[in-house]
Formats: sequence, structure tokens, C-alpha cells
Amino acid sequence: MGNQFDINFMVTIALKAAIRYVPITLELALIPFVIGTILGTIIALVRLYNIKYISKILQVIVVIIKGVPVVLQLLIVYFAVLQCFDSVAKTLHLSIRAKNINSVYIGLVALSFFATAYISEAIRGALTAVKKGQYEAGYSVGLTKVQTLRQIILPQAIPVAMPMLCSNLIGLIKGSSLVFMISVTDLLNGALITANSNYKFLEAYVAAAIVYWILCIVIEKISYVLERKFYSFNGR
Amino acid sequence: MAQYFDGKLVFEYLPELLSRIHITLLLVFTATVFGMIFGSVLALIRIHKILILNQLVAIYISFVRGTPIIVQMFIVYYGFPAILMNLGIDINRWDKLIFVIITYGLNTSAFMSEIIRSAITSVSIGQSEASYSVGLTKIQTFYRIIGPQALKTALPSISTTIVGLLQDSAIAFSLGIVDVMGEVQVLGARTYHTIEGYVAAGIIFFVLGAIVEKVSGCIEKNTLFSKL
Amino acid sequence: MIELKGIHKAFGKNQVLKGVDIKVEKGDVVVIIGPSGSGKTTLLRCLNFLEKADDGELTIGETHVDLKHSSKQDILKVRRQTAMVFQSYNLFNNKTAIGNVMEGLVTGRKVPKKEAEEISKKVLDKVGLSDKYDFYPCHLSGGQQQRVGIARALALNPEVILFDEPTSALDPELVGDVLGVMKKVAEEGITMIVVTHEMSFAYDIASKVIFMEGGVIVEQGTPKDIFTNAKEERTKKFLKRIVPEWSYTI
Repeated sequence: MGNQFDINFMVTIALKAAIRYVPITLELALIPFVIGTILGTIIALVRLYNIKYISKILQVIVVIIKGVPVVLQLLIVYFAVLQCFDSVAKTLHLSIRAKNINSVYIGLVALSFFATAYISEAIRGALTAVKKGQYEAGYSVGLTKVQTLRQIILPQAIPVAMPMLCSNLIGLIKGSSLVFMISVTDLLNGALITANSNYKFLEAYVAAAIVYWILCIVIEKISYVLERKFYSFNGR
Repeated sequence: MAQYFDGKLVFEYLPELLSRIHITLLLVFTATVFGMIFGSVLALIRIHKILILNQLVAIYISFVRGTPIIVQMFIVYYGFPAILMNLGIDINRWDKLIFVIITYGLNTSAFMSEIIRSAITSVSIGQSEASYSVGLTKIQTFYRIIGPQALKTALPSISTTIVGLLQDSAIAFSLGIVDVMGEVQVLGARTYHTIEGYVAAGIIFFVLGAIVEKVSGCIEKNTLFSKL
Repeated sequence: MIELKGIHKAFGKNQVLKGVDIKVEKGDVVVIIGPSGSGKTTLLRCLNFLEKADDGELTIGETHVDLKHSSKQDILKVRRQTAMVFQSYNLFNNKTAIGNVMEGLVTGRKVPKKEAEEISKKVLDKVGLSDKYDFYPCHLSGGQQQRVGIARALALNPEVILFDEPTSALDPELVGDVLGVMKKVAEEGITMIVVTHEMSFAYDIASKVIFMEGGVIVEQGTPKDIFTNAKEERTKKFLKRIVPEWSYTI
């Protein structure tokens, strides 16, 4: 194990490898984020308007997903898919087998569940933060529930939700780093592979860290700008 | 190898997994304590804007919050010995658990410092003004007026961070620690039934998290009455 | 013409409205007074279904609703015939003053934007805010916000405007402005039902005063009847507490 930190290796080889796989990491973070936002909004609305049985079921599901580490969710989904897929595929007469699936898709599914639960909480919190009087005023001028939501509530809820959504996205980027456990080559794994032959793992990890750090900083800056834009009615 | 999910195994595994729970608890506890102490130091540096340290701390916090904990863990594991080696100290023989505790401690400190900083600054300045005007010193003001109020504000976020720390601790096994997750690997290697082990571990983490939230909920309700 | 028959409403075990009957003719200015907890605000909110009454009948103009079995269409119909001015103004925070006034017209009633804009400007001028069209609520004083709230209600040209303690949240200096606007509205012949503690306003403007206590109407009549010639003991007791110098004067 070399005592000197090999900056040259880190920058020329490890860093380059990490950057090459950034698209995979972004995929693993953004796709669940989008899915999570769409489904999360629906879940948040269902829970906000307390729709008979579905609301309670969703509450239980969200609590469970929030209470189990993301690593475990990833691993459980992975092994569950591996075990069940073959039997399901046989019954449907499909020719693909579990070992042919690219694990990326499994990662996407697991991270999507994770994202949906957390984002639905963020949106629900934002919707309840908008004062009840805004809902009542909307109804009293003759708007329907949907119209009130669209014209009055959501525009006020989005800027409230943005900081939490930003931190959820950052959480997804960091969570995506765990897919190396299910043999997906993302930016972390990509950097590590370069160190397999020369054992310069420290340099590889530092290279990966730098790329993650920059990604997160960029996201924070974008979120800050968007927040200012959406909150313009507050005279900020 | 791909056998059917055996629900009974989930419950059979629980006792074996619980036998390693002390590692998880040790990790969470020490990281929390270290995190609050070191986090307070960092928070104070940022509040008083101490020249160069302020920027360094800001960079440190940004780095810790912007990188995955697994990356941090391996950087500490490979990096600390290398740095200390250059100073002539050999810590390569240290138990892996120590590196893990250092990582999680440093990680928690960053998050705690932000929580503490925002809680302290949220106490309105009128409180300290009133306190000085009745003759309390700066330190007395902090301990008797600002501190308690900041603590009340910070408690929910602190409990959320502890639950997050608990969930993050599930990653430590990749370094080779035999905590709850590490035990799942051991059992899985023996019986090829890893998924049941993961489900059992999931139950354990869920329950632990629920306990932390319940306890912090009780504390929150209690301090409301006693301190205000 | 608005008529309420047999309104009952309970919150859990608490029976807040115990059978209330009210008749309001076009152009009436009805002021409801009474101690807190008497059910006045609940009654008002039942009128536009912000609270769902347990029992009773509601008639507004041509619309007749059985409150026990009200459908979504009934509720929407009634809400499109009424408008409310709230104690805490409840202006849409993400819209300008003129945006607030236009919202019910454009989104609720599908009025074309140009037309809605003209109506809104006229109505904002009427309440004295011609220089504040594009101001957001966070840049308006309480009194100005409430006047926008009144404009918002006026623009809809409803059968009745419901006022829920419109000045209770205002600083004393601003109360006068809002009451002045409300007087103007009354003078134009718009039907109003007002819940308030401003007794001199009630005496000045009301065509009918209703005194409620404990979920029932204790007494109702013209302002003169109630304020100077109250028949019920409970009414006299309430008035003595609120306007001590008025009891027993002509």
C-alpha cells in the first residue's frame, strides 16, 4: 500500500472513470425522483383528503418504507426479484430469465419505492402548511376542490416543498451509490474498478467523493434559484 | 440455490440477529454523543464566524453532506492510517469498528452542527438582551436562557438525525463489521437464505427507529411542560 | 330571498346549533350578534357549506337544498350564489389584488379574462384601492386586504354576501375604513348577513338584528327594537355588558 497519495492516478484515471458513469448515477437518482414526485403527489393528496381506506393503507406503507434502511430495501427487492422472476416468467411463457436482467432496473424499482415514500411526505407537509383559510376562500368564491388545488394551493405549496425535495434528490444521489452491492456499475463502482489492479482504493474513493460533492452542490444551487423564482409572490 | 421464501426463517433468524444488536446500538450511541459535542463546537465556530476556521468548517460540512456515507467510510478506513503512517503512527491493526465509529461520528457532527446552529440563531435576540439587562453574564445567559430554548427547537431535528444515523449504520457491514447486517451475511453464507435475513433485519431496524421516535416524542411533550 | 329552516349542527357531543330559522329578503342587511360560542359563525359557515349542517333546509333564490342529504352539485350551486368575507381576510397569497378579485370569475364562472379584468377594476375602485391593483397581499395593510376581500365578494354579484366578523382582526384605526366600505355596499342594496361585535355599525346599517345565544335565536327585530326595546332578559343582559350606555335610552 503506497504511502504517497497518488494524485496523478486519481485525476487521470479514477476521476475519468467516475465521470464516465455519472449518467448512470443521474439515471438512478432522477428517474426515481420523477416517479416519486408524480406518485408522491397523488399519495399526498389522497392522505390530505383522507379518502376512506386507501389513506390508511398508504400511511402504513409510507411508515414502513421510511423505517427501513435504503440498503435493505435495495437488497430485499434484488433478492426477491431474483427468486420470483423465473417462476413468473415461466408462467407467462417469457424467454427472459432473472440473470438476463440488467440490475439497474431492479435498482430503479427499489429506489422508486424509496423516493415515493419520502417525497409524498414532503409534499403532504407542504400542503398542510398552506393555511386552511386559503382552501376556504377558494371554495367560497365558487371554485371546485380541483380548481382550488391547482390555482391557489399548489402554487403556494411548491416553494414550501422545494427545500425538502432538494434534500430528497440529494439523498437519492447518495442512495444510488449503494447499487454496487447489486453489481451495477455507477460512478462509485466505475471509480473502484480502476483500482482493482493497483489497490489505490483511497484515490478511487476520493475521486468518487469529489464527483458526488460537485453533483450535490450543483443541485443545491439549482434548487435555490428555483425556490426564489417560485416564491416571488412573497416579496422575497 | 434459489429456494422459496421461508417465512418461518425470518422469525428463527431474529434471535441470532439480535445477538449482534449491541454493535449497532454502540455505533449509534457513540456517534450521536460525538456528533452532538463536536457538532456544537462546529456550530459555535460558525456562529461566531471565527476567521479561517469558519470557512474550513463550512467546506467540511458541505463535503460531509454532499457525499455518500459509504464513500466517507472507506476514505476514513484507507485514509486515516495513511495520514498517521506519515506521522509515524501505525493504526492498521485497529479494530474496524473504530474506523466506522469515527466515520459516523464525523458525519453526524456535520448534520448536528447545522441543526444546533439554526436552533441557536432562531432564539430571538430579545431573549439575550433581556437577560443581559437583568445582569446575567454571557455564559449564564447561554446555559439558562438560550440553550434550553434552542434545545427545544432542535429536538425534533435531532431525533430525525438519530433515526437517519440508525438507518445509515446498516451500511457498515460492507467494511466487515459484524453487526446485525453483518450477521445476516454470516447466516446467508451458511444457509443460502439471505433474503429472510434481510427481512428480519428490516424488522429490527424498523422497531429500533420506532422506539427512538417514541422516546423523543415523550421527551418533547415533557420539556414543553417543565421548561416553559 | 334566503330562508333557513331548522338548522342543527353538532361538533362531537357539543350541540352548537339547536334549530335555527331565518328569513332574509332581498336588500336586507341582517346583523347577527351574540356571545362567543352562540353559534353565529357556525350558522354563517353552514350557509355556504364550509360547515355541513346535520339537519335543516336552505333556500337561496331558486335553489332549495335539504341539508341532511346535500349533493356536491347542490353545494357548488349554493357557493356560486354566495360570497364570503373572512375574519382573517384569506386573500390568495399567490395572487395580486386584482388577481384575487378575478379568480372566482375566471376559474369559477368561466368569465373571459378581459371582461373579468374590467369588472374587477371597477369593484376595486369602489372600495378605494384603484392604485393597488398589482399589489400582493403581503404588501397590503390589514384594512386594505379586507377591502380586497370585500371587492372579491362584490365582483361575483352574489345573492348574498356573508361577513364573518370582518373587522375583528383589524387594528382600531383601520376598522373605520372597512366599515365605511361595508356601509357603501349596504347602501347599494346588496343583501348582507353580517356577524359582528361592532354594535354602532349594527345600529346604523342593519335592517334586521338577530341576537343568538346557546345555539338558538333569542330575539330578532329592527335595530331600534333590539337595542332600545329588548324584550328578552338574555338580550338585555348581553347588551348591558356590551353597550352599557345604550340600555334604556331611546
